Amino acid sequence: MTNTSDPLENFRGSFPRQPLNARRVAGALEAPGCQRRTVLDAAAVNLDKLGSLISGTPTDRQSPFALTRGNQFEQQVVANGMAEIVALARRHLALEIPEVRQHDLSASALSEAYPGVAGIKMNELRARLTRQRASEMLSDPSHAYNLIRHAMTRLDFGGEIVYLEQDVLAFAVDGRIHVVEIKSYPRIDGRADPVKASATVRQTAVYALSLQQLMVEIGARPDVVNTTTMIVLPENLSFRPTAVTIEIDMYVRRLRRQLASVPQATEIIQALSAGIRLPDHPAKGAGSDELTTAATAAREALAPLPPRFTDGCVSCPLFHHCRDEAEFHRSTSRLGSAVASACGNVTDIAAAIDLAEGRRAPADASEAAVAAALARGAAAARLAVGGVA
Amino acid sequence: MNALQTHQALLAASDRRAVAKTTRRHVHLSPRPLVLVGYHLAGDPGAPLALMWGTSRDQEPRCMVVPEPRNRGLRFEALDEFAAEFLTYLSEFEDRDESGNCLDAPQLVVPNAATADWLGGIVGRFTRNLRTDGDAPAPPAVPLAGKHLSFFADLMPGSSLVLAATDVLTTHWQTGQLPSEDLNLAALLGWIDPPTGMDSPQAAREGEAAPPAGPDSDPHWDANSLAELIQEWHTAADAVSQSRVRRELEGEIRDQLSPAWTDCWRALDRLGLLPAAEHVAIRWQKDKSEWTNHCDRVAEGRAFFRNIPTPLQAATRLKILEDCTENLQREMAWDDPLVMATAVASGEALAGRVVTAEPERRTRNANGRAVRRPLITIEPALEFTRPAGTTLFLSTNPGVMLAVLSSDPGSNLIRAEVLKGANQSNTVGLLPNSGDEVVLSPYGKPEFYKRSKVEDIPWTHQQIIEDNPEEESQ
Repeated sequence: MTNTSDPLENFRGSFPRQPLNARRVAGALEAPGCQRRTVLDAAAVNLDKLGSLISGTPTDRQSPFALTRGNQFEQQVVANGMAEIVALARRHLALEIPEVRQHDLSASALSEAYPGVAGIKMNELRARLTRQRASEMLSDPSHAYNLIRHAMTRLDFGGEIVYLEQDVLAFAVDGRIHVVEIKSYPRIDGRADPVKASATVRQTAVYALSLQQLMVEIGARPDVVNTTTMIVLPENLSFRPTAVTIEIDMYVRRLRRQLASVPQATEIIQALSAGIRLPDHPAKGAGSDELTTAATAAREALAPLPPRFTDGCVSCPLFHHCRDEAEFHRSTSRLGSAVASACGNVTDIAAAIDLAEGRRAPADASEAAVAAALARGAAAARLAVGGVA
Repeated sequence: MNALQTHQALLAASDRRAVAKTTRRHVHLSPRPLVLVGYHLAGDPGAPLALMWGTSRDQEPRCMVVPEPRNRGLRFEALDEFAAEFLTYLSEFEDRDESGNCLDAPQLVVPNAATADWLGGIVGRFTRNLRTDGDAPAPPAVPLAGKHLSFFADLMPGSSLVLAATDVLTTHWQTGQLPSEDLNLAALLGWIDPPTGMDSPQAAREGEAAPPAGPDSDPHWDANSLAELIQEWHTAADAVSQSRVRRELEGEIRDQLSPAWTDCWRALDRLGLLPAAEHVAIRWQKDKSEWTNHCDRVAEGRAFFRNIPTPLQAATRLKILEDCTENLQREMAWDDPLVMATAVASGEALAGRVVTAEPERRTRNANGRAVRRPLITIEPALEFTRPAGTTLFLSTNPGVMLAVLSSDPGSNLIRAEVLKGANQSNTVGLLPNSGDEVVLSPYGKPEFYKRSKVEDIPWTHQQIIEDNPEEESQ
């Protein structure tokens, strides 16, 4: 791995940092080709704080009720030595787990054994232990731990190393490693919210892919990681856990391809003029002048980073800012991917309208095609409203 | 995306105002709808926090709050309050004509599809089978209201029994924002009906700043107000201070939900300005008979709803869903030239002026018999490139079926001969005359003797592997 953190560290300056997690990696890939997001992710900028600063309205909150419920469920599932998980894994993954030897690799569990280790050092330690445990699993399956909680794996994202904390890794006697993910949205009558479910699948694919890379690192075959993963959800409105197994191989392969095409963040930032840098985040209770100055500075720092505005952007903390920009530039992408792709290389709304009305001559063959299609749409509407039908 | 829709979206963005996608209203509007908005506790759809409802915009809406949404007893107490009024509203629609059909049906209006799904799929689903005897019984009105809500959950496209304001508005108007932004009712109304002196994108931003229309509440409000009030309710020592907290909570909830409530009425007002399309009344008739059936089932104690449909039920439902979707699309196009225009823009339909009409034309069919096949020649208004043999239907008389013939080389005229519907001496008058403007569309009358039931489980629905066999046997 190359050490590329310097230009990105410079870009972030002392703006609050937020290490990447699987959710954020998956989220970044929902907005493919967005260089702005890539740089911000690679620099581990706290996007929520940045979004709130720029838009002037706080957006970085999650309801305390949702958090409580999620934690309650997770605690219930892993209580009693993960008995529930073991039972579900036996049933749904058809795993023979004759004897459970579990191990917790969470930061809180390790801090007792390794006092004084924290931050990035702790992540490295956890990743190293995960790697060690995984290779033990494969070399000495009858004695190694076979259920690992909060394992930590690493993933290369645009040249940056991301540490991912997994819910549970289960190892079976058949020599394969399974990923188990715990979520707290309900599965009602066998169906979970499709939007949340697909987000979970993408997130789980990030874990599975990082594990596959780990397998390659320790000299095992990547297919040791079983892509049939188990997702544990509350059944109906209760706290009783139920599980679904999903084959995520397709998502993992897609993710691998997407990750390979993530532009190198340092290349993006080095291509820009030196010295762009996020402002310091104003302290709590800062005056409005200070906030405005910081927001302006943040906007200026983002301006040279090209965004790619699409339908998936709504969930991004910078949505409002990028939307304003798209609107300012009268970009067709403001109207969503469908319109933008229908307009091809005509990216300006006014230009597209002018082409449709014949006020502007198409510059090339592709503009001519867009003009013809739009003119046809406009003519059909005129005919209809003109009383023909 | 269709070229017409793309153009409308571009137009909306450049004019900074929503563009009409229709010239008619394609939903029925009840003179007495029940407007319903509500929140559940974040992350816990089974814990309703508040509901606000009413049948008149001029009256203060009714409001139900659950001071501790996680408390089952309090939940049912509050739901009972709603259920009683909900049942009263529904009972207004139980009057029948001499043939036993309900004279009118109720109509629920909610701000968005998510609220409709929550009320039917969660609140209805988890209250309809509650026990009203034994330990901790639920009030009897609650499961009954649950059955009604379950009925309103399972509706087909084209039904107007439940109107989700955002869905209905996006059917009728195109905004200049992302499709997912249209899910916000306040923002959507900003585009369609901005306050005077404000342009639409600006009005949409103002709308976004309003409290959410539900069923999810604003997380900041949860953290800053709700959490505190619930805490206060817990620490309240006696009934007096509890009811004080309750009143305070109700005030807060009203502040949060009122914008959505008003917006629902605004949406109805805006829709009411459009003239109703012809088929709306026919579809509402179907809604009324669905409602009649449901009332009968409730009266006879047969109103059961399956939590998980059998494969055959699922296949049947899918088939009906497909038919209804197709039907709605067809009827909207017949009723509304602007909807038909999307088919013209995509090239599926042919719009033009009749140049010549030959109602007496006869040709020989494959058996060598002379048959009457009237012919019309059309000068297309927009290029039409579908191949010879394409069957089309007259938009004004969808029973008239025509086939496109190969056109003369070098001519842009389209020749189409009548296959059925206007080749008898009594029907040939349906044919347009020369000089008429016509649209030939792919939307024909549905086949008459279509089997509406699925008898065997189709392969798509076979081999359902129950992943949890123990639960099945419980």
